[in-house]
Amino acid sequence: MSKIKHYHHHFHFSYQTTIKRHLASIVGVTITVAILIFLIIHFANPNNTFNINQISWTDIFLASINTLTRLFVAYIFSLVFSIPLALLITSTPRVEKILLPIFDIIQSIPVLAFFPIVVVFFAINHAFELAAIFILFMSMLWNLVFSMVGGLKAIPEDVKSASVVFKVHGIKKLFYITLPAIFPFITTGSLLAWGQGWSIIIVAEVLHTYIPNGMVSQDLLGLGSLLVDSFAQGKNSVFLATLVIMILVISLLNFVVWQKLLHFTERFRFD
Amino acid sequence: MKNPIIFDKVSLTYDKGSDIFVVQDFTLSINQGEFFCLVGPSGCGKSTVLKIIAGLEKPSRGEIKKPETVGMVFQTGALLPWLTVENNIAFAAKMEGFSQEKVESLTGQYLKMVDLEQFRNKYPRELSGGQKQRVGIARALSIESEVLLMDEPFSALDPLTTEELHNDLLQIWQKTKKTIIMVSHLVEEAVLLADRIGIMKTGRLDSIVSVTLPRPRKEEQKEFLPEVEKVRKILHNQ
Repeated sequence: MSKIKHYHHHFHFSYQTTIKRHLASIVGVTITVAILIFLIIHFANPNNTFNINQISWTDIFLASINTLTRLFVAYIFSLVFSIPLALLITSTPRVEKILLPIFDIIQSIPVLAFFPIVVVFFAINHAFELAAIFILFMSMLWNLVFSMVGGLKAIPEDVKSASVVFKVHGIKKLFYITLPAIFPFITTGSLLAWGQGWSIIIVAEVLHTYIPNGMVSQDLLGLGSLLVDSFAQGKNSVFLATLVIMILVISLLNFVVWQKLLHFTERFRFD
Repeated sequence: MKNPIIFDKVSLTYDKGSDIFVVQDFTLSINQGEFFCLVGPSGCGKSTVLKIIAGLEKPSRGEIKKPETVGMVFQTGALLPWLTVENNIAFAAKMEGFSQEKVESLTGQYLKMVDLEQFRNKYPRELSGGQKQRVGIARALSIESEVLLMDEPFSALDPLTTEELHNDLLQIWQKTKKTIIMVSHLVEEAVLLADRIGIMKTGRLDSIVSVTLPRPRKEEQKEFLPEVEKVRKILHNQ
């Protein structure tokens, strides 16, 4: 009798958790899809025109979302490009000997040095948003690449041997061994990349300074452009409000994402 | 008797065309179910011999017959820190291509054999050095190879843990009837565990000593020390 009861209780419990899990995933997917649709619509018709003399809190809120989206899109691109690049560099000692110095030189050229050319190129095609994302991408990429190279080289020899002995090859090796093994390095690289991105955003959104005879109206609405333009126009209250929001957003991101991720990486570290 | 591993004049050099061999003219047959120990000074090529069997190195010359699948226990454990004890073992079995049911049953079986059932959900960093090596042993066994390679598996452990693991390893060996090839830098360890001891010097197999001491062996036995001395004399060219 007690066995049946126990079984029933157990069954009931797992049934409930399944429903809860399903509900949670439905809510999660809906929210994610909603955010994505919002971002796509928002980016397809960017409301980038703003009048620095009439900035409301809604504008600052929109600016925060724009800036975060630009950083996020650039980050995803740099993440996607950095993994094969890092794998290529460390593929053989010979490739590393050739590629590492080349990439070292490329990454030490300041991104902003060629920003005017990038802006003009994209401006011809009226793709201002892409100009900003491209420059953010270039500034984020190398932090990730070099962190990952460091991580790939730190994988213990015995672990590499074990993956051969236990027949972990190709795509399985990438997902089961390599990526988890360099996860702490990807995280620190990402942290540096975002830091770099936040510095560059101040310039990346203020396109008018790079366009010949450019006007403030050509700037992209974002926290970076609000900061620069409000200061230039002597709108101290807008400048201060934007600065406070920017610090809040960065702190929140640090608290909600990076601290949690850094803590989580502990599990992926080799002794 | 079947010989799972046969070396026929195997040589290995890292530079093609070079005369410097890491392993040179290595000829050896290992019997099925045998516990074979390779000893020798550092850099004599004993670990490289193990790597050749594991398929981590390819001989430059000579022939080797070995099973396609071999289990290996590493000096540092080489566990994946992001997987639990259970999943570290199951991972190897899964990569071997076994069905989910078989993976689960093998994992359970070898967790029990190395006495780590209560640690199945722990992560490697939560284990002691000895426990990590037990996981390494269970993982190597879980792929059901007839050959188990061990590369100085106990060299980083304290003497008490080492003694415990020696006993457990011998029990596992007797239970599973695996062929074990172990590299060690301790002559005492080799005499305690092995049927035969291969003594290596500068890439060559200098000689093979059969350990005639009856099992179970103990270091306190009066026949133990002379056996150790016999191997040491060959090792030091006396």
